[in-house]
Amino acid sequence: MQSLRNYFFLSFLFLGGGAILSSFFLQQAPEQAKREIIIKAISGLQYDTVRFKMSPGETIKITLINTDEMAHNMVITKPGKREEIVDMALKMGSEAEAKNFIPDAEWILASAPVLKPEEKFSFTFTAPDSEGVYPYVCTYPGHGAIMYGAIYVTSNMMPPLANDENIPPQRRGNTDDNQANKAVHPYPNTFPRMYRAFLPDTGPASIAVGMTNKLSYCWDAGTCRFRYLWKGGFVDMTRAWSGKGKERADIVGTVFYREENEAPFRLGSKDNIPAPEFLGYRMENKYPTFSYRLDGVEVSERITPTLEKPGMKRVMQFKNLKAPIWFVRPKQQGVDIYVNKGKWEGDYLKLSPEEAKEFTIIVTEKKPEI
Amino acid sequence: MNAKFFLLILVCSFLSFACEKEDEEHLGDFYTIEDIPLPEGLMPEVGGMDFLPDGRLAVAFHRGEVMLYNPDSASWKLFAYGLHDPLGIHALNNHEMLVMQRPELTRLKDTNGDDEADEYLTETDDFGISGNYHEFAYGPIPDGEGNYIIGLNAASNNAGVWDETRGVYNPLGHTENGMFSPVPYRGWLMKLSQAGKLEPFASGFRSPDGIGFDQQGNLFVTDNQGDWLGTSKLYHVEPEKYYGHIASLVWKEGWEKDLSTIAVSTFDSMRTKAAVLFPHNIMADSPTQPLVIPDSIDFGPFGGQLLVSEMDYPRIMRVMLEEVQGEFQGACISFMDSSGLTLGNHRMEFGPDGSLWVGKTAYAWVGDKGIQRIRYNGGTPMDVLRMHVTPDGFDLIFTRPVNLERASDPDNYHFSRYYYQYHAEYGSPRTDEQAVKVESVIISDDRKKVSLKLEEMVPGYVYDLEIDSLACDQGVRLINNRMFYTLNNLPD
Repeated sequence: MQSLRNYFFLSFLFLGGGAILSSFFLQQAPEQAKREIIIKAISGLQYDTVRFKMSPGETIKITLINTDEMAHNMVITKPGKREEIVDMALKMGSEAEAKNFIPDAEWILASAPVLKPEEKFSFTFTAPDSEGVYPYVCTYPGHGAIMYGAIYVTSNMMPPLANDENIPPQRRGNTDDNQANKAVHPYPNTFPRMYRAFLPDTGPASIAVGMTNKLSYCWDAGTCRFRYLWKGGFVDMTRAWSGKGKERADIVGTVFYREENEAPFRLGSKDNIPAPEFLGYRMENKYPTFSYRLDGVEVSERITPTLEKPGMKRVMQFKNLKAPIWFVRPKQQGVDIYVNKGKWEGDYLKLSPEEAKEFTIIVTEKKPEI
Repeated sequence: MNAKFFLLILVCSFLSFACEKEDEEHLGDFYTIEDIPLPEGLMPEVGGMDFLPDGRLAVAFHRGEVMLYNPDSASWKLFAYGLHDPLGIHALNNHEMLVMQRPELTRLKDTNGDDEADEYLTETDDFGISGNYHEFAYGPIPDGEGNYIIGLNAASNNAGVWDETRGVYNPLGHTENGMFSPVPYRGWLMKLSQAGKLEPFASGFRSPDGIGFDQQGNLFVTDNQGDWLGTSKLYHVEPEKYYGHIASLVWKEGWEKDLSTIAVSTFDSMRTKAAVLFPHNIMADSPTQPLVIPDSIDFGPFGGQLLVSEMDYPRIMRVMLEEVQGEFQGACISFMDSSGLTLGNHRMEFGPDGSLWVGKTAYAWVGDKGIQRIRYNGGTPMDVLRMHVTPDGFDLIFTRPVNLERASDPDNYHFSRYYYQYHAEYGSPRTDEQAVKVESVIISDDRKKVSLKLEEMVPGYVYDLEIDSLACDQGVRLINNRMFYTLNNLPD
């Protein structure tokens, strides 16, 4: 029912609104549009195209496609009127919706009405004869301050993107403040450092720790277990921070060790999957020491980098154990795994309560065989 | 012409001119806004704010920092970092605070006095996260009895669910359309008891970003226009009640039904309606935090009332509540509109000096960044202080006496009424919208109360009032002239 209604709404826009607009422009500009500019409204209150050039008097077809999840419109004005139109739209009151948040002003040159997500609208636009920068802007409440672009009506070149004051600051080329070479925090980018974030190949409550600038790991606070170790860098948060946080952060470098087993430590019996409970972590010299419970037994886990070969040293402490525990042998190839205590029984390392009070697991990358 | 008579005419016309041309007073004359300086490298999208007992402001930011701001020295200090989308903060003392981040409620503790947290302790993570970006977590708001309220957003159908979730995945809660609740207790408010147990408190929320108590301990929560919400609203929330967004219901104890098999009328009969509706596209598109103006501070004439921040407009709203037939209902009006206020108003907190601090966010929706501080300069703006329903109309109580001539004219008051549909679709048009005539106006002796008799009062409608021109007796213009009363019940 809703889609049907949308369809009628859309038909109205095309047949009604479109016809009115094009007949208006037909009178004004008998010349047929020779080219089409497609402008998409995209996530983050932006048009994908933030500027383009037209020759004075040229007629084009402009198609606005709303690919975002919010409603957007587009209004083209005479030079210098962008902020004024946004302000006027905000003050329209109850008539705003019916008028598509487009105020009455003689200096509006053309417009597309409010489009819901996935709708589109085309209109013909003839550039004025006088050269200038003609802004286009979304006048939907709240959008106009950052959602705009510029039509350069000129026979000259457009200015360099980076210096273009007529487009939103975040679209002026390489000024993205998510870039790794720019400060992304009010603290220095030194290591060790960490983020709780959405990360690949792990649960949604995970933690990324950069031990050094070349060696990092992922630890899952949902299941209370180590997930993977990688070399070559830390994480790139650009995608995770852009938009609404839909995307996971990207691992920078190569994962060379994973613990795939759903429970690397077994309590009670080899087959028992203990229930995890995350208690948090304590920062010491900027490295976290994780605390958690497995079947009620308190565990601490501190991970630091190895020095000679890429790898990690993991100091484990199981408190107040009454019975032995087992560490499941990781299946990962290409690494050496050393545990300083316990006794291997097949794929399980058995540790007595005394041994499990504190033991160390060292995982290092194997040198390639020559 | 007699000179005396001429003078009289001159005086008369001067007077009437004074009456015609109202002096413009702006809220900016009574309240001053300033921008708080921010440290370099910070993405200043504010998720949470609270004052420490020593007067410093703790702020949680989008990229995971918690920073302390000292208003005296205008300096910032990093307290904690690496948190996942923190959206709420509550200071316990000068060294310890609770922060609501996406995966858990965390206690941050500075144990060595260097003003940097060295312990990040899990207070509770006893709720699900599916990896869906829309599963924001809000709070913790203390209830004054040692418990905390937190809010769990529903998941969005603009994204899916990860293969690996925390918390049991319930296919009944993974519906195709609208917001959904694939893991426990998405769409619920939760209560963390003093004993540390997290318990379901109330259901039926879509996006309960704003949680706050009034001075009497009543809990109010905002929710955002969308599916099952014709417009944004403010609920008075009580334990175990259901507030209308259906996704959460799959986590009701013993629930086994497919939500799509249930009639809208059934959901409708289960729900508790909002105390105040915020008309979409007019008043608020994304209301955030309710915050009471405590009687203990001097912030103008509105003490005891709730302010509600709003992201999509440069606006903070004010809510005028009353109890009618045992239930809260009332009106919303602007408290501050523009006057230098920016968009993205997300978190509000009163400072020790009684100034209001407003943290901004956008999250790639409409909004802004930064922190603004609003100071009250004294004086009484000409405004509607309270709006009360009567059996046949409304009483408006003004902060200053009204101009008798103006206020007596029924044509000065433009009422319309409409309702918003309760349905699965996203939002609702204003429905059955029609003008309501004011039949008579009575003005109190002190000229602060205007009683309006309307031709018709129909429960279930929003009464939208725009006042044309209502000078106070000094000829000063009414600062906010549009208000929206949610008429759930009529008094006897």
